Amino acid sequence: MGSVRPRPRRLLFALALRTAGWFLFALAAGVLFCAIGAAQSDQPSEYEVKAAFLFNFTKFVEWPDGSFDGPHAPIVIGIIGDDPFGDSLTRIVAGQQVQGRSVVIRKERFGEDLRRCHVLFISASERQRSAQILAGLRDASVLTVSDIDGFAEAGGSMQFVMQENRVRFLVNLDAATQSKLRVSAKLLALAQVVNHGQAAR
Amino acid sequence: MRRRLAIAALMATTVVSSAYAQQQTAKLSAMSLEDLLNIEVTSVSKTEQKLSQTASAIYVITQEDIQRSGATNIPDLLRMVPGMDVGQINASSWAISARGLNELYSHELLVMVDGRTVYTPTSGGVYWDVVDVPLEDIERIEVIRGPGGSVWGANAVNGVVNIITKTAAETRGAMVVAGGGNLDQGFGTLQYGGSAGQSTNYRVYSKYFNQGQLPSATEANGADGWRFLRGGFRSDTNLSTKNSLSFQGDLYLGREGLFAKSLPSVTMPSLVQSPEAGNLTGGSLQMVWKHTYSARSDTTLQISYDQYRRDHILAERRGTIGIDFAHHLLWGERQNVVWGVGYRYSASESDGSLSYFLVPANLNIQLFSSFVEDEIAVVRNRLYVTPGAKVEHNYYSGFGIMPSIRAVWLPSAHQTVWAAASRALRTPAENDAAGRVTFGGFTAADGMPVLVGIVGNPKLADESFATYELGYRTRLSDRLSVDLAAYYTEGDHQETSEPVAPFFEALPAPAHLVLAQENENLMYGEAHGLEVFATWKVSRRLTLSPGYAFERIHEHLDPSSQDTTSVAAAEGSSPVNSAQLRLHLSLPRGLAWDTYAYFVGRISDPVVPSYTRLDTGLTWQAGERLSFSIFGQNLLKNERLEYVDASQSTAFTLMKRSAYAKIRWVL
Repeated sequence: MGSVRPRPRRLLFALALRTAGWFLFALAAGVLFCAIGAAQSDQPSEYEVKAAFLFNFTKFVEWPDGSFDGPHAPIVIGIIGDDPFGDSLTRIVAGQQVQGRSVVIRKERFGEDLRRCHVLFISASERQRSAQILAGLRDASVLTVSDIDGFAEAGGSMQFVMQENRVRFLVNLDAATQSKLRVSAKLLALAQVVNHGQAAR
Repeated sequence: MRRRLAIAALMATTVVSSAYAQQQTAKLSAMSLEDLLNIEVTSVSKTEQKLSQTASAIYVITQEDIQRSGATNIPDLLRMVPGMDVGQINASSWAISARGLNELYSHELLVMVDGRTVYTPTSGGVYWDVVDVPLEDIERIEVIRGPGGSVWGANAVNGVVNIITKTAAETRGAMVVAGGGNLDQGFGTLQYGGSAGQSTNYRVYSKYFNQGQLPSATEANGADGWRFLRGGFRSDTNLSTKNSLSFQGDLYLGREGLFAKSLPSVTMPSLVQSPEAGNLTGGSLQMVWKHTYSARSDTTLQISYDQYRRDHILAERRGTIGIDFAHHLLWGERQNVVWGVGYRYSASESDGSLSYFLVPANLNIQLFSSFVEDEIAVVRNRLYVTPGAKVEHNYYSGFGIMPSIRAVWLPSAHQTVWAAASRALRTPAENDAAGRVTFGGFTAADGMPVLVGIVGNPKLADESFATYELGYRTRLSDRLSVDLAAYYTEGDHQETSEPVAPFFEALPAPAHLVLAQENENLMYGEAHGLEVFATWKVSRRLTLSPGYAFERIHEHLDPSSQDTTSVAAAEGSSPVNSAQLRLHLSLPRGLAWDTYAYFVGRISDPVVPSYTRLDTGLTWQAGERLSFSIFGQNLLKNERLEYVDASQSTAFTLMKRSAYAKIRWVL
């Protein structure tokens, strides 16, 4: 006896397997739907937005004559230190024209000639050296940008700050003027202006 | 087939999400400055940043994780930590450890609530049934897998769990939480938080739950239902800009059932199992005074008192006073020093029973400790080395030293490499040194009653563990982070049970012979393992958190040992493989869907087959003040065995499918 009857344990096992299979399927389907749904209205990351700002700054700053090698020479955005942007900055500037010029991204290293940049983003990894970098660029027409705390007060041109998960920026007008950069009124209207050595808190 | 479909769907998701990234940047580059200013971004907080640079295998359970998990107690929350072994034995008993050596009252894990240690000197383990606070008041739970002895002291061998509650300022207003279901039959929290004067905030709460019985292996009702009423408070006062004072305390009253094993008498020495219910009462009170001398120096003084009474098996009462002082200072340009001293006094009384009692039944013990740790910035923002050590003196084994050295290297802003070497100690608990366990007995041919059991050894030495760890954390993008930790541990002087010469005993009458084994330190072994987890914010709405842990332990006996059980118990008390997947999906209109799947591999001693636990739930946040949720727990298999207490002192029951609904209203 015994071998003809279906064994309830087997049945239970098969049932459990089937349940698990359905669950995995439902999970994956759910994930897929949500990813597609989310693609309609997604939140970009902090550095994707900062990358978009960096690109936008080039539209609202005028460099003095002689900053470019020729009428069609590109605008150079340099990044010094660890690049927090991934490939988002490269993707944002790809194929874009500003004042009839293309925009290129260059990775810079400490000790190299940073004066060939038009915009220089100083990564948070360069916190210790930021004062040295700024000193080296005194009187050079480079728009210095960073998100290091106190960067604008310390003589940087522009500083990103985060407020309630939104990206804001500070402009140190003295620093920009000293670099012979003309910052457009539109940009200033949207910025929090900081004077050299004293923040407008 | 379906599985293949599922995999295909997951792959499609990846493709969709990367195509989406392209589209997103195209959109961003076309945006105006005004639009950019209004975009909300996902960002990494300062605490997250700091934690990501810690030189130990740390995992943080946030309040958000707690809400999403649907867990109704702290042990269930710990399941989400990769490398933690959480085994529920019955409704109110858990075996919880990290990196193996798990058992009921596992004594290699140190647990604290707001810095107050809650393990009991009786067993060195934690009575998880009484570790509770309103889960809504938890700020975060920091879990460190691996040794933390150089700061936290003995028993922080395999891990440290620190439950940190919110300050009273963060819980102002009234809160009502109420819910119920088929297993959690009714639970609720009432809380009010307010302020007194300008500088003091406080909250008072009461919490109640009533959980039904789980089925036992043979009966529909395992007699393990339990209910608890708890009340507590916390106040935080800023005395001045330099001084802050906080008080907190709680009182609880509970009743829990279990199938208790007992020996009726010396002449009838066979274990009888009978359902019984016991009362548990207790409470704690603590004060923390923080004084800031300057931005470079501050001190913390913590004084706590904890008392409990448990009617089960041992029928014990205990009161513990703890005083801890710590001073933190920045020394010179590169050094960050913390040092401190601590004292604990614990007094206990127990009635015991024939199957389990302590000799002596009443005991007062003291513990002295001091520690120092110095974080040295070898290269600032790049390389930090932290040597540290703790010295303790305990009642049984005297002085013990627990040194460690940790290093963290930050090759870039997104990467952390850390390594550590540490020595941790497990000091004998009263149970090891003074416990008398009787398994059973028989009547010899000449009519003499014989009892068989284990006797404690007051000369027991510390178990010592040397652990080497290596870890790597990376934030691949703002959406994806990965954390990896590997370890190798060598244990020495681990506890075994060795036969001793039989002896006669007059009491309890009639006179009888005891065939006993005594605790000794004759086992050594190695353990190695790996834990990895990731957090992937697939999109604004979807977060996936997979985790995996591997652990393997090999134990060996000293040639002089005659132990037959300890090796198998230590090697097989936790699974070799465990994995988990958490899925959080936020839907429009304040809805959120959370799913937690846990796979736990086979446990070999005592045998528990591998299992997968699935919890899922839906939460609706109806405005800022009101939320509704429904959760299903343990959905895959009804009446599933999860953990068996090897000592058989606590009967196991089976996990059952359950569901509950909950409402939370903040006024």
